[in-house]
Amino acid sequence: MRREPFEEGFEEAVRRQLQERAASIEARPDPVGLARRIEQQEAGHGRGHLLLGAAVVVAAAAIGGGVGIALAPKPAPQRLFETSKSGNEAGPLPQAPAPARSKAAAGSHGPAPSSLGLTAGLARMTASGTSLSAVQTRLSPVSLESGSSLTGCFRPVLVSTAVTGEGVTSGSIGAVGLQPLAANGLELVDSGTAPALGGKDLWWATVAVGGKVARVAAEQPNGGIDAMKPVDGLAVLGGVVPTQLANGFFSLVAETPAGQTIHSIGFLAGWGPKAWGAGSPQSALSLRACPALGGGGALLTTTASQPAAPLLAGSSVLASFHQAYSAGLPAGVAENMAAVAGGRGPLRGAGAGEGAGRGDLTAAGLAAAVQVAKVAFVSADRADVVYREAAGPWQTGTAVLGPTGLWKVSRSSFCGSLSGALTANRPSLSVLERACRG
Amino acid sequence: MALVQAVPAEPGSPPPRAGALSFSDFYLANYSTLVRLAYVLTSSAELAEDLVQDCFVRLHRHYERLETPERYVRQAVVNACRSHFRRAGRERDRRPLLYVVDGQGASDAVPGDLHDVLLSLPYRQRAAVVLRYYSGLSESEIAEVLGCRPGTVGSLIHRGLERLRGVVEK
Repeated sequence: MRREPFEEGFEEAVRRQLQERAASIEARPDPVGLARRIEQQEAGHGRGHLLLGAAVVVAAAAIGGGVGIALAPKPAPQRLFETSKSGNEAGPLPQAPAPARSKAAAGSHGPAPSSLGLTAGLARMTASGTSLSAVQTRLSPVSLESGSSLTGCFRPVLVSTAVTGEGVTSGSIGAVGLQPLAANGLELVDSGTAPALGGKDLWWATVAVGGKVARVAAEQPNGGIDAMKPVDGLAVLGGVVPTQLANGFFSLVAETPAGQTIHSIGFLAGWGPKAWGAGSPQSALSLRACPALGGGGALLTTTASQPAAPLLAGSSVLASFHQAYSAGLPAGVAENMAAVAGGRGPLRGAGAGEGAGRGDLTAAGLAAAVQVAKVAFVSADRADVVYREAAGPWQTGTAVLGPTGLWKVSRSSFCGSLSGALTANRPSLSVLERACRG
Repeated sequence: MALVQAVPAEPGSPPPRAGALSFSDFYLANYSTLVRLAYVLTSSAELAEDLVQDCFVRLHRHYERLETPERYVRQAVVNACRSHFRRAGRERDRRPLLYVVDGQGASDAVPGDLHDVLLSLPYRQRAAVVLRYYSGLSESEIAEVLGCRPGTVGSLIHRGLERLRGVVEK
């Protein structure tokens, strides 16, 4: 059948109108939402296989309520990059948190995620003018072994927090996803303080919550409160306190949508992670070690003496390895060494501007810098860690428990690895070597 | 480094494609384009995002083994839109698709404009027109997506355009 041609310009007009129509919406990738769907699907497959008696356990099932990537039915849609409206609501991740940002800048964040686009996060400004941001980056699977009581394969998420205020920029690194949280659970991922101007200290706390927590508030030692609605299961809180109070007792409160307090936990800023409402993975999941990754096979022997909270300890070990072995951190080698035994940590007192771009840097360096395949606790204060830097050979390092409850890379392990190929691309190698000698 | 990691290929499966993007990079590079394609096909931004995310979830399981994930996911999006309308059609007992008012899937189309008419086209005609004039695919590529012969695509496009004539402002 012969078709009559359309009049001149008609097809072009169709094309133009379709393109205008398509361009009228803003289509922004939602990698966290995608990750949640994928894990829900994988968890579903895992349960199905278990029902059929197949020996397949999907590693993602171990994620629990870590950062909102849960096994629970899909929660109500909650966009990660939302428009900031007030100091108590999270906004989109800015391209780079500017140091000493003015209060008037709150709510002016652009909608774009980090320039690398591979991370997801939130950013906000507190009532006191402290700018906070947290960036999540998914890590590769990690086997955790802790005596005979726990062996599991986990897919943690690295969280990098940046804080700016009072002329100072600082931050810290934590990991979540090992600890399954109840719907009303609360996990302090990381926290810290940094000396600021005028006899004050910045403080911050990054918190993972279960799906039923509608608001998280932190109370400073002097009674000041910072609060926010969690975004994708994550909240970042902070503020400024007089220096003499920075080492005081802070508290975190989780609230229901009706404003009722579910529970609270106390913490010292800069000390190790802690949690409330964290479940035992054995109670909910069948766990086994991850499939062997390269050199990540069985090298390690655990003993009966284990950390009291091996999942939280594992998170701390992971965070320290990524911080210690990442090149180009905002505060340079000092930030690497802060994650090594004997170094101060979390990072304290980075100068103004040094932390700018920390969010982007997280995407660029932290997760890619090192791959941890296994953490095996050999005692209550020591763990053997199978890791490799970039695509280098698998190594076995050691993490040790520090006095503040944070696990750090042992100095002998870290400094002993500097001569290896794993540091070939590190421009600051000589500086690190000097730091090790010092 | 990726927020979303592709499932490792199972033993015995073909090796990964050399030089291919990681799943995360592929997702970030193609998400917007596919959401816009789904939006033009469904006239609902919310539905478009939902369908495209689902397609990426399916793609994730096969990504490492696909030679051309772009074609796979594009076809998946077109099929997902068609499946949505089929389900919606069954649920609404074959009432007209145009004036969907029930929550998810609600159309953003304004009656009387191009998309009003576009949505009233049979799905294959609509998809053929959109793939030709929005995505810029050739008739053979459209035929592959729709699972028909290239000659059929020409016919679908022609009939679709005839219906659109009169509402398109030149």
